[in-house]
Amino acid sequence: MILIHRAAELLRAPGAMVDRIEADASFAEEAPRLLALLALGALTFGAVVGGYRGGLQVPFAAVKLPLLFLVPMMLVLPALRGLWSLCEVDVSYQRLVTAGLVGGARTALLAAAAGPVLWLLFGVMDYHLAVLSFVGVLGLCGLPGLLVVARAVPAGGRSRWVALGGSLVLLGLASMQTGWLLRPFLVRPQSTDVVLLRPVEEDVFSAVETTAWSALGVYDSESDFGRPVYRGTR
Amino acid sequence: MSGLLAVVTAQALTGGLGVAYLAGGVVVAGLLEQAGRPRGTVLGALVAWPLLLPLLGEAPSPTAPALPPGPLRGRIDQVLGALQDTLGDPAASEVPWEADLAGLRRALEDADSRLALADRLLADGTDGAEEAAAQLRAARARRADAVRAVLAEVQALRLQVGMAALAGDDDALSSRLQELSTRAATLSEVA
Repeated sequence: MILIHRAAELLRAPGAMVDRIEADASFAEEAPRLLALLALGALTFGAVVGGYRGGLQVPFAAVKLPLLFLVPMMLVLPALRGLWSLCEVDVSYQRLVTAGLVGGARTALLAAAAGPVLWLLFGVMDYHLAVLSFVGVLGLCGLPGLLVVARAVPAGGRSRWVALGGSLVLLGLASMQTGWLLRPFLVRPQSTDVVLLRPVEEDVFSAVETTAWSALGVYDSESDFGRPVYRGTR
Repeated sequence: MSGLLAVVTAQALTGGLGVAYLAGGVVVAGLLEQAGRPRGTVLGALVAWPLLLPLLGEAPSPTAPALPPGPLRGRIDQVLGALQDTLGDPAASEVPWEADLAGLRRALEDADSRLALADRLLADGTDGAEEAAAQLRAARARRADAVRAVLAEVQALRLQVGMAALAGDDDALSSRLQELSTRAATLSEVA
């Protein structure tokens, strides 16, 4: 019951929730609840994404999606604290973590809510469009979460916009590379090769470029891992 | 050979980092357990310990000793529980209510435990102090009536939550909640 109350609160007034947790000094009690909501939302969304192929890919993607939300936050938040301090904006690490957890849990719940729509779209999409839709939904749902973090930082300070832009870039890069390391989330329905993690190859930017070209129907050959490689001039 | 070495090195590095992360989680969880943190927080630290590091530097907030329940404790729990469910309903208005409701509960429970003290004193016997006992009985009755009156208004407030959800009168609801909380706080101050 308490999780439902917290879910309603973080969807309706996430900024006020960050303020309340700080004012009540209830971080120790609220942090595990926010973690649980984040994990539940991401797990649901991951199961939907894994459902594009079905079978073993459903639990694989469901287990990895919460990591996709958590790992970038854990990697980047200490750096963000330093960045904001450099720009003379005094924000405590605990407030930053609270905002990150509220934002992450909000993103996960929104992604879970978008799951049924994505599921329907998967039925009419080919693989590459499905990948782009997955990334698009994550981006759309991630935006409100990022805004929670941005608004949780106190006003004032020198070069505030530099810190804000830098934070968004750092979080974005960490999320993209984490997603790349944890792939695959989406696997072709006809694929018989279902693995928890793929070997590390290239990087996230070349992969996005290849997928975008492939979505336009520009192919050259198949890579070692069954991923098409585009035939274009770089 | 060099390819094999690269794979082995990468696997060893990944495994080593994984073990180090888990060890960090165990250490942080152990420290939080020692500090008396809630069990959920300790379990959360096993998974996401970097996010819970701020807790290591601060002492847990002291918990106030539980007040002994008085004659109206059951009624207080029932009425405030119903109000909490109503305010927490996703369809209810967006008025922040947790702090006011917690204050209201503390004040009512405090007043209730004072009633319990008065009941115990009266039950111990009043030999030779009939006049003082009568004054205490009268004061106890007044205080119990005041608590019941606040509880009746709390019940009425539930209906106001429904009105705010339909008519959008959030400000009136918020001020009423604060007013009740303040009024309950005076139960402990005014004889």
